[in-house]
Amino acid sequence: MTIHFTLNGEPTEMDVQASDLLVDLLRLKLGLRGARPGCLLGQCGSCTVLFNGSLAPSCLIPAFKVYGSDVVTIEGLMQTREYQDIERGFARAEAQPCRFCAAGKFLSIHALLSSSPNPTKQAIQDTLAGAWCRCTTHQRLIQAIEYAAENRERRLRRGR
Amino acid sequence: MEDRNPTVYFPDTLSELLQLYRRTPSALLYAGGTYILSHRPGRFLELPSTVLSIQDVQDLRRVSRSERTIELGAGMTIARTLQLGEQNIPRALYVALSSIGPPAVRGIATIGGNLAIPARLMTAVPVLILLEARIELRRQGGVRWLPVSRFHLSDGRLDLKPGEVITRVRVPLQPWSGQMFRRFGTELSPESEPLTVCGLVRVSNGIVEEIRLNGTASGRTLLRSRTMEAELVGRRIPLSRKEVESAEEAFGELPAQLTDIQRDRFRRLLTWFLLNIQQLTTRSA
Repeated sequence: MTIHFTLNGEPTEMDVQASDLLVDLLRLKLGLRGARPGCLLGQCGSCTVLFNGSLAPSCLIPAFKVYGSDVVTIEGLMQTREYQDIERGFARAEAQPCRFCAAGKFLSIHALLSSSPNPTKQAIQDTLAGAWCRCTTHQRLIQAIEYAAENRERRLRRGR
Repeated sequence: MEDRNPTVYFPDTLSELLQLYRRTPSALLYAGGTYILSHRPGRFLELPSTVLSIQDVQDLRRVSRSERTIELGAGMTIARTLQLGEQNIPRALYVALSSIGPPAVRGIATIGGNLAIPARLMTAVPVLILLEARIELRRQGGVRWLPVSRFHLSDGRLDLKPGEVITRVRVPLQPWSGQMFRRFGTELSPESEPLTVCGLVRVSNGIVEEIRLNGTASGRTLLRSRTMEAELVGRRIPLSRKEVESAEEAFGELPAQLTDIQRDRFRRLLTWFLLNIQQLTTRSA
């Protein structure tokens, strides 16, 4: 079947098998390797994308569901100022996520800050529940998100 | 017959969906698909020859609230339902839904999907049973309402007629004084010995007016004792140790299929709930 969808802001058309998984389409057919197949059960967060504006594990999205949707991957987020806010927050907190979990963490944090600009510790923990990895300490992650929220707020105050 | 490239329909309206489903009752209704994909036997998803993708059916995503009930469209995602907030849905249901998967899974899993797994009592089911929620089942030319407690038949099947679709869940909004939901383990790993326990209590002038408690073990066995619930009505809180022990006795033997850990956890939570009714009601007040 042929599917049409928006990928990182660009209209995209592809021939797919209905049961292909979005994570495979992104990596194997489109060369976007930020989303990684981990547990393939939607639990580890390594294949997270924004699907119609919400966080979603791309290993649980078959190709036919992508039809008409809006998909943002970590590669798309990297082109935005919101990504820079998060990246600077991580740098300031000296938190360095590994390549396995970075996409899931950054997209989860972006989704969190978009819905609540000043998140509580509980909201941060809930958000990260789907993107835990042993690469970064819990405390630094929370700090990185708090710094990212500050960066974002400062930037928006400047009207950028 | 399984297929990697089936015919997929994307109905926009409920009537279109019901019409298509009537024509092809063997089609797979695909909403969030999280259970289907998490339980696929291999790397790839195998689908029947016809799939009805219901993601575009707006009628299945409506919410309406009256003074006494809230109706949730079966196609609403768990995340969207949680966005309604604790003030709009019963707290036990809110906590139960929050315990489903990581946030990304809650973004695609649906309420209807959580109800419609044959031979499985998924997370929301025991809570909806306790709340005496009802589901609307529609097919072309017909509609019926069924209590959630009667939807899962004892042989593991669902009480669905050919061409019928779960369209809404109606949850009563009763003034519970205290609510509890606890979950251990996850459906995805049976070795985690999954268990849920849910309790609701209404107290008036220090007297238990109504109390309901149930649990599920491994998503298959429903645990509930109406004898115990009846015995506790009319008691003054806090319950004494002796009253709690007598209530535990009234609950009776737990089914043999429970593991020792499930048995122990359930007993402990039952005791905790009964001993802490006063604290629970104060917290909710």
